[in-house]
Amino acid sequence: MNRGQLEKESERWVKDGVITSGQRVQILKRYEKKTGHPVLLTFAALFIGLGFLTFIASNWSALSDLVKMAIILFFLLVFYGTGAMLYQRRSKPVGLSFIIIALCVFGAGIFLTGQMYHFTSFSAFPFLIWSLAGFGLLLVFKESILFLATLVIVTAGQIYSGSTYQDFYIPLGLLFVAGLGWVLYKNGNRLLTGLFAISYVIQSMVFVFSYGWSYYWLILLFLALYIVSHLPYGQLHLKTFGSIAVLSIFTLNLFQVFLLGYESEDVEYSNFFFLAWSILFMYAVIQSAMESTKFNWIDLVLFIPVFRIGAGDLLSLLLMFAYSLGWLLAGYRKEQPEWVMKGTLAFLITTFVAYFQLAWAFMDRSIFFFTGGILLFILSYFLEKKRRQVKGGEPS
Amino acid sequence: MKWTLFYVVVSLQALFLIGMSASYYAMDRWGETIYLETEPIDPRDPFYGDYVTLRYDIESFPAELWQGSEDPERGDMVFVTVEEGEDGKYEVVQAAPASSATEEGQVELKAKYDWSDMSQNNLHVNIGLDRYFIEEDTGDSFEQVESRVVEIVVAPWGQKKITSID
Repeated sequence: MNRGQLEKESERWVKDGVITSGQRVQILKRYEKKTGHPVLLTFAALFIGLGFLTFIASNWSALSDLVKMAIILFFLLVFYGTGAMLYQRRSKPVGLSFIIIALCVFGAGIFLTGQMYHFTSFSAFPFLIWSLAGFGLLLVFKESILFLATLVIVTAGQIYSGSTYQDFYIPLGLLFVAGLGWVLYKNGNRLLTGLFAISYVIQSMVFVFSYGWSYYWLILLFLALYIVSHLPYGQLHLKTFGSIAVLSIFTLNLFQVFLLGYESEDVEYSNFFFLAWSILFMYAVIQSAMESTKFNWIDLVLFIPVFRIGAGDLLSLLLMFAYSLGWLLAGYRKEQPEWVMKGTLAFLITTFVAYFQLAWAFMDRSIFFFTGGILLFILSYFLEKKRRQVKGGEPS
Repeated sequence: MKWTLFYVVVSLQALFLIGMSASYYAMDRWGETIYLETEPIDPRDPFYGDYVTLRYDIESFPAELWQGSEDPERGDMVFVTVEEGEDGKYEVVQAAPASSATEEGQVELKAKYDWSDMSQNNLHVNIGLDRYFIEEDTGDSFEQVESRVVEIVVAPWGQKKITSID
């Protein structure tokens, strides 16, 4: 009997009163875990696997279709089987990595089979099937790595759909929001939330650009992400959405500085956008007013659309400055080092961008860089001094 | 419970792949055979690896046969209905953005819209059978200078494959 079996068995003995739990510990001590050579074994398995793979790959075109199918199915089932067994008996991480490999085999299998039998696809449907398989596994094991795998497949599928078919594939989008979103809401953590939000931002871009809409619809989608992160009854880990949303909208404003000019009044706009924006923005303002932290409205400044009024580049800069200064001042007042940090970073980037935008055309290149460097140096000196004061607890 | 679900998820994946493969073989049983003529292709580089490139006559047709209310966009799905002509080759009867009921002797092919030829007012589609894989080292005997007749099987569920080339 090995230790694993003994552990299970002896639990029952204790329950039935055959031995005491102290005796159980003593018995178990006699069966110390075998150390073995897991590293060597892993490498052995890896090499044999690679040998198989290269052998098959080099002979792939010579094989008949049925043999190819048999090989794909064989690897699929073997990896799933081994993965499940290892997950149950030995080590969860190793088992999971086998299951992930099996999921990859399935994905490769879909495309190889499709190629073999001349299937034509008109959408990202293969990716939907693949991600559904990943999602099914996620429901079975409830492991973060499977969440990640499904997220990657969904995102890749959506990018593929956007680039190949100029289309946002709605079923994938639904799986993302309703399926992965639900799992995330129930039991996610900060890391997964962050990655989910990044995927959301990527998919938003696919969505907006594949329908040929103007970029400003992104403001609305980012605002929605921001609002979700601050919902009063939301889960704590969803707060990460807010940071990603702010980061995205900050980047968008940055692009506006360079891309919008005085002619920005020519940007086509839709009344529906302003209606939807007003509703969402009003709600966001009310939401932030009701929060215990009274300073979150500073984030909202960035979501103000400025492309319509003209001189959009300067206005975007103003928004970025307002955001940076807002957090700097709030940070000093409340003595919150993170806020000061956030404000400082945003302020530095904004200054840099402003300087680039305004002075690039007028100055000699080397003078431009010298002056900029010195300016930033002075700025960072003062900001750092202030930040230390806050960190040291001195009122500024 | 957990492991039952696991087995279900895994079997569904295996079944999906098996289904993809099986549907290909099932076409022989339930599919309908049609004959399409290919357009001659410039033989400068007809071979790319071990397959030949094929273009079919029915892949371009007059814009009048288009039944949709608006013009298709590149990559859109187009349903091309073909009917047997006098010489046994199939010709385009109509093309529509959605599947429609076919009459006796007609077959519907799913295609992807490619582009339109303004000067001749033709629409060009791709029925997805533009590659015919041939056995290695026989490529030399396959010169695509004149048009050929390709035998194609079309399954009731829309799948199709090349069975032979004359």
